[in-house]
Amino acid sequence: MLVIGLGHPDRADDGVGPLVAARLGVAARRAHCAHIEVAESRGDVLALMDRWSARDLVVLVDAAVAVGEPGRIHRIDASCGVLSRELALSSTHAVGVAETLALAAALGRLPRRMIIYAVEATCFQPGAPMTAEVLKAAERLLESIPEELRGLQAELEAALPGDRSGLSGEVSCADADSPARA
Amino acid sequence: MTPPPTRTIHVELLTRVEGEGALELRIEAGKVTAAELRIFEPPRFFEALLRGRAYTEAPDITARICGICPIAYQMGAVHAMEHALGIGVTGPLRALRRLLYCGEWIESHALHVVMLHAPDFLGYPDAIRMARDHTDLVTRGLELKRTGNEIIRVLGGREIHPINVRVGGFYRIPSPSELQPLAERLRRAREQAIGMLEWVSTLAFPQFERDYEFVALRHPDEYPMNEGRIVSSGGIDVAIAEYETQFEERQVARSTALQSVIKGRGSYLVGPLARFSLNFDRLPLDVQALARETGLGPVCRNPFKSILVRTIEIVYACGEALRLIEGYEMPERASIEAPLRAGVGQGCTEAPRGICHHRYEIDASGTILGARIVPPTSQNQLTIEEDLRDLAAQNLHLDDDALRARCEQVIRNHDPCISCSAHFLKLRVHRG
Repeated sequence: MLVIGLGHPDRADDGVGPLVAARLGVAARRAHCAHIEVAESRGDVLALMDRWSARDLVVLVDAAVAVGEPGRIHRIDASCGVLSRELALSSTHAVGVAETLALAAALGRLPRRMIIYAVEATCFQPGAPMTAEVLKAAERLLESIPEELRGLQAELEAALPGDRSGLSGEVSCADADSPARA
Repeated sequence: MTPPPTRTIHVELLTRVEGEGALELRIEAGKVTAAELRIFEPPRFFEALLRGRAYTEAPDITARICGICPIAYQMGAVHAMEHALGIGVTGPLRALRRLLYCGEWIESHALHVVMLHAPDFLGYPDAIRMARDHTDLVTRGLELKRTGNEIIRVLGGREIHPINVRVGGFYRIPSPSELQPLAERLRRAREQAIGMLEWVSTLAFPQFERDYEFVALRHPDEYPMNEGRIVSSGGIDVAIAEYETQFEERQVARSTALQSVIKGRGSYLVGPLARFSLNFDRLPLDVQALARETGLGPVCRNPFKSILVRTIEIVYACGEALRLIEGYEMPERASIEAPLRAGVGQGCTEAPRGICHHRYEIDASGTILGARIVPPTSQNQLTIEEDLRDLAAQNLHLDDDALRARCEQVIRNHDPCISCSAHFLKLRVHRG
């Protein structure tokens, strides 16, 4: 399983992805969950396609421009590789999430399951702190993602009988001591 | 049905180019009366940002101008500063810089050839739809891009906006053993690039040529990247420090990017076609042979064949990177001393899209007093518009959709990096 945090830690709410991924990584190491890996990407998601293509499960956390409720979390099952109907490739020098997913689907390089958590965010200013709403959303994700991982892990185990080595261990963020970035 | 004699073709937002630009084509009474590349990318004010900063910060600040060609900016910055300080990087450090540049050429060209340009030739609206039917091509292109990115990561510290380049050399230099995995990748990459060249050479290229004035660097011994004199097919042959005696920028209302011209003459072309046509004899013989096998001669004036030339440059860069790695001897120090002094320095290197010129003035404490950066896409704007005008004039029989698609392809021939091109020479504030 791979948890990817997208965004830049020094750009306020854009840091929510790396923050969640980093704390989940700490929790996974403490729980000796070797099968859970975390990664961070600050822009070019295309480079991650290699890392996720052989995985059973990828969880991706990213900030999104708020459309109504800062801090609201959108959970998207992107396992089929489609995020939106219209793909505007107006700038492909930094290939975004939607384009990378669509490309991965076209090349047959999607993971078995891909879940995206998009957090509505309002502040992307370099050097600014994360807003309170997005910080709270990060805390909620740190509870819900491990729960989701346990559920999906069970689904995968049921779907993949046989070798279950490395699938034991529970992830909890309750004891993670990395302070939330303020 | 014959298209009407008076029409306007307008593309509000160009796709498969980096940055924000639009196309406006006016045809009146059966003649092309206007062909405009309208860049509305907001000005980035990097030259203003650099004023007051330390000379050591120039590579890191200018790297942020572009995510796909940061090395070009870093190299221009360090060469210009070193020129101001009266020093020069030679030997293994010079070789490492050239190796780093090979990485950028590979990843930038691979991205453009496969993801941006190839769909035009195959009739796809975008690379994703093309990928469904041409999986091998896209996979190979992405693998090549990854190889280029890996070179940049190993030498530059990270793939995007590298952090290891400094005036005088690097902050950290790799050991030969760190470069060996790159060598393995490059051997495969070169074969992949040759395979891609064979495929690209089968594309149908529109018959279209223009008598460009090509401008590029030229070096006595090598295909140019970091060093050389500025030469042109129209007779220019000057040192980099004499750039401003030959070229000037001007502002046009329709573009936030300045347009460059040769003084007293007009438009010119920089980039792979110019570099190739002015330096064919500097390519290794086996690469020259590959080029000839695709039907190219020493000079190429068909901008649609730029995809071919870029692929040749990927082959070249893979081989050159291998040569540099195999001959690498770790230097004693990661950088040379740079004694401070006031002065003006200029640097000009071959970004994937063409020459990129930097000029800085620093004071005795190393503070930047002034900066001027002329990216390749700025320099090509007028030429792109002239391409559009000529191509449209030859294709007025096409309906609007077909003509629009062909015009967009004309722009993509030059792989414009619009974000790089949007810089301002002056900002005047009038307060009432």
